Amino acid sequence: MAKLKLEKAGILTTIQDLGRPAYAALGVPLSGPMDKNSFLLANHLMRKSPADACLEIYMGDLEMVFDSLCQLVVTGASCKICCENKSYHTNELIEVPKGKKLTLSRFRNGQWAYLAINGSFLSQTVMGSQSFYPGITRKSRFSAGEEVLYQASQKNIPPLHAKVKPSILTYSPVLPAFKGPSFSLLSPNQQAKLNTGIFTLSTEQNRMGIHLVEEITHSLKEVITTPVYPGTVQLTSSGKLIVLMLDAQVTGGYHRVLQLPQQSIGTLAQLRPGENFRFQLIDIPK
Amino acid sequence: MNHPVQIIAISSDILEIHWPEKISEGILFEILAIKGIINEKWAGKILRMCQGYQVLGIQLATGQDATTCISELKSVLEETLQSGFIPSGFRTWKLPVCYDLKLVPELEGYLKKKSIGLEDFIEIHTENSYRLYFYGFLPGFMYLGGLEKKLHIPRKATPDRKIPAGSVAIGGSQTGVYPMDSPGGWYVVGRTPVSFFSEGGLRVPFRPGDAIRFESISLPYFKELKRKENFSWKKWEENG
Repeated sequence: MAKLKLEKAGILTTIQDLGRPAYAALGVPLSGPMDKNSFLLANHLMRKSPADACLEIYMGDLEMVFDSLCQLVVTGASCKICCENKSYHTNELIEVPKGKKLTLSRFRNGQWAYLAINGSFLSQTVMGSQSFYPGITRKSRFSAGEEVLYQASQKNIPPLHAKVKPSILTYSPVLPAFKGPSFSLLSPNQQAKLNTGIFTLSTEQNRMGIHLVEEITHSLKEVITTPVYPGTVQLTSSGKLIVLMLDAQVTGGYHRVLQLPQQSIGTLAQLRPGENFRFQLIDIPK
Repeated sequence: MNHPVQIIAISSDILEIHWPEKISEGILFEILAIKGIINEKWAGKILRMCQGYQVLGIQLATGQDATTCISELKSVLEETLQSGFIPSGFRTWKLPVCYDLKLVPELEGYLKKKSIGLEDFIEIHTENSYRLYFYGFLPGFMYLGGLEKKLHIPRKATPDRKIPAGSVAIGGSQTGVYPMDSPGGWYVVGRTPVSFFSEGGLRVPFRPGDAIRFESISLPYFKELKRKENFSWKKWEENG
C-alpha cells in the first residue's frame, strides 16, 4: 500500500466515484463528480474503469508528497501543476518520483479538477461507494497533514499514451436545458426570462446546489414534495432559482422549472460565482 | 385504476409517473406496487428511483431509450393498476419518544406558541399512527402523513443551525425525526433514543407503507434504551 501526504489540502478535497444510485429510497443523495466529463476523462487517461474513484479538488492550492513513484493525471479546471521544477498541463501524464512533491496552483479558471492515479484510491466504501458525504462516510473532506492511501498498479502506463489537449473552459456559455414539470405553469414572460435571460452564479453554492443571483417573482401555489435530481432547477416560493447538484437531497418541495442534462451540470459547476450564462430550452429527443 | 396517471419524460434519461397532486394513502399504495414491479422486471434498465407523495421518478441507466421505456412502462402501469393489486405486508411500529422537558427544553417554545398543555400535546401526538410515505430530505428522514390539525405550526422563518439527531419535530402539517444532526426549520418536540442512520446504514426497520406510532417514555427509560447497543424491534411492533 502506498500513500500521498497532503501538506496543503485545498478547501474541499474529497474522494468521488459514481455515487450511490441504489439508495435513493432511503433518502441517500446520489453524490459523484460535479463535472462528470472531466472525471470520466481522468479515468480514461489512466486506463481505468469509468466508475473508479478519483480525488475531486475544489479551487486548487494543494501540495502532496508521494511515498513511492506514482503516475497520475489531472483533468478539469485549469491550473499550474509542478513537480521537481517542471511544470505540467492538465490531461498530461505526470510521473512523480518517490518522495517528491506535486503542487497544484490555485485554479486559473474553472472550479473542479480530478486527479486519477495509475492505481486505486483506498478509502471507506459505504453503500457501494467511496464518495464522501457527511453522515454517510466518516470523512467528509481531507485536511492538511492527512494521508490518502492507494494501491499502485503493477503496470506502468507508457508516456506516449496520453495526448489530449488541456481542457479549455468557455465563458458565458449557453446551457441546454429541458423544461421542468412546472415550466408550463409560468407566464409567457417568466418563461421568456428563463429562456433568454442572462443569469449569474451567486457565492451561495456547494456540492448540494448553486443559487443564482437573478430571481423570478411569481405567485404559483406551493407544491407537495416530489423527487428532485442533480440538474433540477428549483424556483423557491420567494422567487430564488437553485440548481441542484450532485449531493442534493432526493426530494424537494419547490417548483421544478428546468432540468439540466449532465453536460450542462458539468459546465455550470465549472463556472465561478459572479460569472454569467444563459439557458437554452431544448426538447427531449423523440 | 383508481387515479388518472401520466408518464412524462423530464430529461432524456429521467421518466416520471405523475398521479394527481394530493397526499393520499391510495396513491402511495399504487406507487409502491408499481415500484416493486419495476424493481423486479426492469432492474437492468434503471439507475435510480426517487419517490414523492404522488410522483415516482425513474432515472434510466446509460444507453436506455426513453421512448421505448415509456411505451413499456405504459403497459406495466395499466396491467398493475387495473388488476387492483395492492401490496400487502405493511407493518405497524411503535417508536419510543421522550417528551420530558428536562431532555427537550425546546418543547416549551412550541407549547407556548400553540397554547397547549404538555399532557394534552403528548396525548394527541401519540394517539394516531403516522403513515410512512417515503424517505427524503436527509438519509433516513421519514415523510410521515397524518399529523392532527391541532398540532400544525408554520415552520420557523429562520432555520436553526443544528437540530440534533433523534429529535422528533413538527413543521407545517408534518411531523418527523431528524436522523442526523442537521440545520432545520421545524420545532423540536421530543427525542427518540433510537438511532436512525449510522455507519452507512438505516438502523430502523420501517419501510414506506408502514405505520408508526410514537410511544411516550420516561426520561430514565430513555437513558436505559440509549445505552443499549442493539435495540430489539420485536417488542415495538404492534400486532406483530
